Amino acid sequence: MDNTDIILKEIFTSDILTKSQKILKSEKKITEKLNTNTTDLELYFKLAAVVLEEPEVDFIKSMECMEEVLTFDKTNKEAVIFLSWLQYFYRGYVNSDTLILLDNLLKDIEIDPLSKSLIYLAKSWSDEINEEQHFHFLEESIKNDGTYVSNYFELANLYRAKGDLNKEQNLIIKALKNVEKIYLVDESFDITVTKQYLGDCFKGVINIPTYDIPTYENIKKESILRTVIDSNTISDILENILFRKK
Amino acid sequence: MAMILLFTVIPIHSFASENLSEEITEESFNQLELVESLLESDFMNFKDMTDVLTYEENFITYQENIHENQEGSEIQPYNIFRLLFSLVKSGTNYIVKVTSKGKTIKNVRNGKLEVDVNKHINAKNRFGKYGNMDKLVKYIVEDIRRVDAAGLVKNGDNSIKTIYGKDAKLLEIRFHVKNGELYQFNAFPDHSKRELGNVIYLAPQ
Repeated sequence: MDNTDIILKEIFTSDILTKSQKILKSEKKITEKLNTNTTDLELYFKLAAVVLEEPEVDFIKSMECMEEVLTFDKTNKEAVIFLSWLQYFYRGYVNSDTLILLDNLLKDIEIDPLSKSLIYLAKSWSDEINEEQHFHFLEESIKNDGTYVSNYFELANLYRAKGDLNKEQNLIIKALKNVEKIYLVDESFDITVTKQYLGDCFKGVINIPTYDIPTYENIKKESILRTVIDSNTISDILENILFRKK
Repeated sequence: MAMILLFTVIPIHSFASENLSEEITEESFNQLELVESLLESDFMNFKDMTDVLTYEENFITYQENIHENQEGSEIQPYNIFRLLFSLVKSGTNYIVKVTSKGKTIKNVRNGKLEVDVNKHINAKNRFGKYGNMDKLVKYIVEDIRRVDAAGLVKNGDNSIKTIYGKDAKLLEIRFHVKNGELYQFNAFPDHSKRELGNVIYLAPQ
């Protein structure tokens, strides 16, 4: 744990500060550090994660942080993927400048399969693609890396929209095999029902940690890969898709 | 950044859609004629309408809306002549369509905006204490419609700060409009202290 993380942990474990104050104070501390070390890219990722915390949920600031990283290094895969997700999640599409960065990353023949998969997933978030391209990008995403959840979920959505419920269900089953952790958010959740759908990588049901420092790594697992998922989502999937209850 | 305080809700011919819903169930009724007659009648204020659909578009979209609502959604259309959303649940997602153009919002992305509530609005069950999710999603969509009807929506990032439910819980709705199309919406408990995009303070429904 580096010095910044220690400071952030102190802030986020405080019993005195409100959530907004914790975010504001952390933001101030990280910004101070960035003023003296403008090229520390890790700090931009920390800041981008901190400002996304509720109730501030400052997507604009978070996007600015990733844009700043990309001014230093246009080939920073994590920054491009995170920026794509921020744009898509906040505005519903990845903008054309970011799509160019994604395409440039794909030209790297030594790119790792997970990054390549996430780049294809991010390309599927463009608003300038047709249905055929949408399917293609998601299929490419799964072909390159089938070890996480969100690409399966998104392709399943496309098949449901086309009325192919069997394919939707098959993809959901494959997605659930990749779940690593389930956050317990509702007391009624029964893991015994879900267990048959989970794979070897499943590590258990845990409570949402409230003391953690917000990190990009957690955002990636929870929101981009979705290998850490909440029990409410699992219950809804079981009820609405696997058991086909109305 | 614009900060606009909206104290009142503007009722827009709600009686018209109610009348239409009742009449339209009668088999013998010529529905296209009804739409035309309502558009031509004195009680419809044409000055209030901007960029409405054609007679034929209105008829077709309303027919589709009735069909969708009969498929299992509890959520009924609000008004046929101003911005009107149809909202249906499909699997774990909600599907939003615009069935009548509004002031700024003329459509949704691809004509059909699909929102995975567990991924967006209710991620980590953050609205667990806000009660029924169908009601909350309907409330959010209705608030977007209200601010559009009041002419407060802008192309780009918009943010509604409002309250929800009997115990007045804070609710912040974020949505993005691109070229008159609603691209995305999300919601968060509590209010951000930041002014992100076009901020609208809205009285509860």
